[in-house]
Amino acid sequence: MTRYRKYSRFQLLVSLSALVAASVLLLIPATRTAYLAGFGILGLLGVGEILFNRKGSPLEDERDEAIQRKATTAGFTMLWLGLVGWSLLALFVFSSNGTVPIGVVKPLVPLVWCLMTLTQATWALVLDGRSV
Amino acid sequence: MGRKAELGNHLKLQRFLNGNMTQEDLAHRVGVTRQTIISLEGGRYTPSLILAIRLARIFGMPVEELFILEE
Repeated sequence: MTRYRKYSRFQLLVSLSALVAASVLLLIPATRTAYLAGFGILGLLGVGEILFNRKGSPLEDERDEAIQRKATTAGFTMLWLGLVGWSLLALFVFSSNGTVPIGVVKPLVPLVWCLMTLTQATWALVLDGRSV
Repeated sequence: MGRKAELGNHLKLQRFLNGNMTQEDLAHRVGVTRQTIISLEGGRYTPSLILAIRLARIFGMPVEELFILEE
């Protein structure tokens, strides 16, 4: 297994863990108000390249970069769909009030970030599996 | 309208003719992963011009002899 594939799996694992942690915190009454802390796990994405970087051989070669470009495009597509979708949903649900509750807006950034990373990592693994 | 073209190659044959070079060896010499060599040999990945030239240099032959444009 290439290190790039391992890195993509790591990204997938971190994003899923963040979603699960936030969901668990949301379900427990005592931690409900602090559920956004679960998304703190996303910070691990920042150390991914350090963890998988090894001297001597490249983490990514040109084929991996081609996959990464396609996967990033898919990730950003999901990011924008998530942002627009969430905004439209908020508009339809709360338009009669004239305001959107802050509780609806707060999870938007970490959720959309999770969605983007999940899509990007999944698509990278799919393309790598197809040997693009 | 552009014509659809595929790029074939003699990588596997050349590896065999050059002392049965392994995919790992070749990958290391041109600075890519073994997976990329596998994809190249399977015709599933088109290399950059730089990689194509590096590969041709390893086998001491012109690029157009190592890679064949199939139209």
